[in-house]
Amino acid sequence: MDAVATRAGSALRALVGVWLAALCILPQRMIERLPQLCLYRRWTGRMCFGCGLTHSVSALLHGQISASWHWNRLGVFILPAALAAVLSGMPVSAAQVRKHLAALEIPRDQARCALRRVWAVLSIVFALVLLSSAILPEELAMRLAPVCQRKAATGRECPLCGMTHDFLAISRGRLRVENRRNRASLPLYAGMLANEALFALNLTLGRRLRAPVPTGRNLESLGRHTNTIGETSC
Amino acid sequence: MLTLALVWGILAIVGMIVGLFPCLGSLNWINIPFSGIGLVISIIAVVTSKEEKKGAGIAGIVLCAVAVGLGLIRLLAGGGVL
Repeated sequence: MDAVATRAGSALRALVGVWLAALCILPQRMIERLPQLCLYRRWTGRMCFGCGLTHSVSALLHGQISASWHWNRLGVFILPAALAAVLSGMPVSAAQVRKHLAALEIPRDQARCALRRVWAVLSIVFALVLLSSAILPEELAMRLAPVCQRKAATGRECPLCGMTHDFLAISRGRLRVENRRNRASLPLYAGMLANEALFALNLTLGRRLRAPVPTGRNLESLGRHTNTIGETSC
Repeated sequence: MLTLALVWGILAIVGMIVGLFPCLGSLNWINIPFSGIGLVISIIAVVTSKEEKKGAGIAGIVLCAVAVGLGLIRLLAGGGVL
């Protein structure tokens, strides 16, 4: 794992180095002819906060500070950061991350308890989504569902378009492929349903396994009983 | 309180990850205030807790701060909508 992280870091550094070298060598006119990569600008026609960064860094590397500032002000900060990353050897290894996590000293039962609660919250959200798609009338659900901003702006569908329609269809038993508008909706629906089943199973089985001992004859059994209650409350 | 901070932090990060999906950037309008509240709760938990090990609270602070920071960047990148 550490070796993989180190290699990934080195590869990233090498890529940044090649990018800087290319920007340094290539004339600025050639960079202006490169295709537009920003998806946000392609979809909306407006510039995002990263637009013009390549031009800005290129201008800075060619000594044109005012042009760099004009293209994108972030370029003045990005270039020193990129140079520092390339020169310093910055890869963050998995061991370093593990060391930082160990330094936090989160008790295992506390972490487990927190994860269990997060799972509970997410399961409740999923249950609400599944229930609302099954209970609400289709017209009302379609009216309540948010309109896709990308579709409204460009007319093109996003990767999530058609999900509401499909969820309503699936929950009403219309499972035919021709009814579906998004290929990802059935796996997502099945995954959410499986999660609900797992959560319900965990809840019932966990309660049964941790059920308090009915006969508290001695102090030891009483201690075990309180312990059980403490665990169940989590 | 420390566990609550950790739970809040994890939920904030989950919300932030969902908000990274295309067209779901507007979710950050909800997730950033949520993470902000989590940040305040985590700080209060760390300051007021009498336990020796405050790692869960610190993790909550870090996770909420990351969710606020990256959420803001995502919101800016999507023009507040996409």
